[in-house]
Amino acid sequence: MRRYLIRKLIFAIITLLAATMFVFGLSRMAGDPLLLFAKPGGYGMSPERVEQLSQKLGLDKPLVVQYLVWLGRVLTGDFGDTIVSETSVRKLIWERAAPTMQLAVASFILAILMGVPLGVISAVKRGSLSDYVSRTIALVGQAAPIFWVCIMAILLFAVTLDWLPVGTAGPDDVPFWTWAKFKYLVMPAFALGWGPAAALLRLTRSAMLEVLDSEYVTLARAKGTNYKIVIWKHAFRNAILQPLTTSAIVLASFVTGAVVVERIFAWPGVGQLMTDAVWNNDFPTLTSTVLVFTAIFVATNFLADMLYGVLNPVIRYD
Amino acid sequence: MDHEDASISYVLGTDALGRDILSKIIAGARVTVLVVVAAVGTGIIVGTTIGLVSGFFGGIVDDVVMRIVDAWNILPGLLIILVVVLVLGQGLWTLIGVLAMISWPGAVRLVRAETLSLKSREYVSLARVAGASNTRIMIRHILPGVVNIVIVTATLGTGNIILTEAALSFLGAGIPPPEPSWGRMISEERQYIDAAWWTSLFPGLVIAMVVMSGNFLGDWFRDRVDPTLRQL
Repeated sequence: MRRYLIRKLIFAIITLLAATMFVFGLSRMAGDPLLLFAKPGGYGMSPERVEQLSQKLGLDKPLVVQYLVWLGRVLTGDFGDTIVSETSVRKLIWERAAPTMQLAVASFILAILMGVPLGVISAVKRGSLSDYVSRTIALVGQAAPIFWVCIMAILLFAVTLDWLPVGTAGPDDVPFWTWAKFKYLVMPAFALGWGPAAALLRLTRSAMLEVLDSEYVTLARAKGTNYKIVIWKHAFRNAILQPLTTSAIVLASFVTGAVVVERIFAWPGVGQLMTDAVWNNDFPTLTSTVLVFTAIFVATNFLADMLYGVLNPVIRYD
Repeated sequence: MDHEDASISYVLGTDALGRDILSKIIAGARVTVLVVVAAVGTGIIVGTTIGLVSGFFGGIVDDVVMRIVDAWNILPGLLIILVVVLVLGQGLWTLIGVLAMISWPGAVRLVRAETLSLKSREYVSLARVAGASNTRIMIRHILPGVVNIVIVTATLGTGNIILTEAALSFLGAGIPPPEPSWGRMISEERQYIDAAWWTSLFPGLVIAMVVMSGNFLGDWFRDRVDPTLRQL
């Protein structure tokens, strides 16, 4: 078990390194970052200014050196300055991290609260109306593009019904559990959580069906055990293993969704920071945000592996 | 020109420039199908070849390939794609390439697993005794056995590719402009939703329906070909 985890950890770190190299290399291939300082239609820059900036950004050194210098700084927590506004990237990401976390956690809780109970109901009452309703929710959730769901939600709840506000993360001076702020979170969280909820629902349903089919459940029922106890104590406990471990990977998929959702709802999170950096060719911000996202992704996958090992002792570690 | 509501001549209404939504959706289907089929096809061919070779020969090649696949799986795909598209520039071939990039690892894993179980079968040993070369065994004896699983993964993966393509087009990194694209239609028209809701509703509905059909087809095909593949 321990060796398995250590190996997984080393592998995760190597993956992370490879990803940073890839992104760093690509972002430099995109063009000379110095050109961004020269405003289009402007007067350009004096050679002295170019020299000075190159030195400041380390652009005069070979690419490998630039990468290593950057990596060394990142490891000590220094992400450098952004090209556009010349402010600290770490500060920017730090400011944007809280809204993204809020959104991701809210969607995650929503996905579990929606996916797991509906999955159980739909397995237990197979073929009933609630089964069909749950499965439709899952089907649509897996097929509808997330940005379209966002826009349709805005159309229905913000434009037509005027129930929910849209456009920012709400006022800054009130805590998020108050309705004044929380109402801004409802739509983005639903839009982001629906897809993962659908995945969890399908997983829970098929796992439950399999367990309900097994002999020990039949035995428990033959003994005359209360059906509710059979479902929750005998079947559910065994069936939930697989969906539970997958839910960590589901959490990681929010990374991708968050980029789109944050753009549409003008949510001031890391995802928006990243897409902005992409359009501005702002490589310090871009590499840092991708690095942060990748780290979250790799870490949750590692957690899922660990969780699986703890919950399922039968798994082989090789 | 301005938005026009649905009428007999414009069944689904028109967009901000007065263009017919239905025609745009139909024209967009052509590009989407081209991109998706090419991307899934490339991904599946590359993935199957690598999976076959990796599973058949095993050893260090297999180790390296599987580590790469593992690494690829724990990276945030859309973000990496976004960066690649912006560096290489937006284009139809770039798009097909990057979409193929996300569809190959799944095929490698499944084909490799199937190859591992097939290569220890007796008929493979007999072929070897009969003097068949490695290449011949792989192509004539193992490949037909993995074809089913390949088709099932390809069908089930199609929906995901369509959604990724739509998301990229929405973010402005997908199908390049003169060609109509479902994702871009939604992104261009979303500023007008309070005035003309149909311009965003219908393209999205089409995407959702196509993806759903793909998923249904995949499910059906999987059950049809091999009921033991339920977990896929």
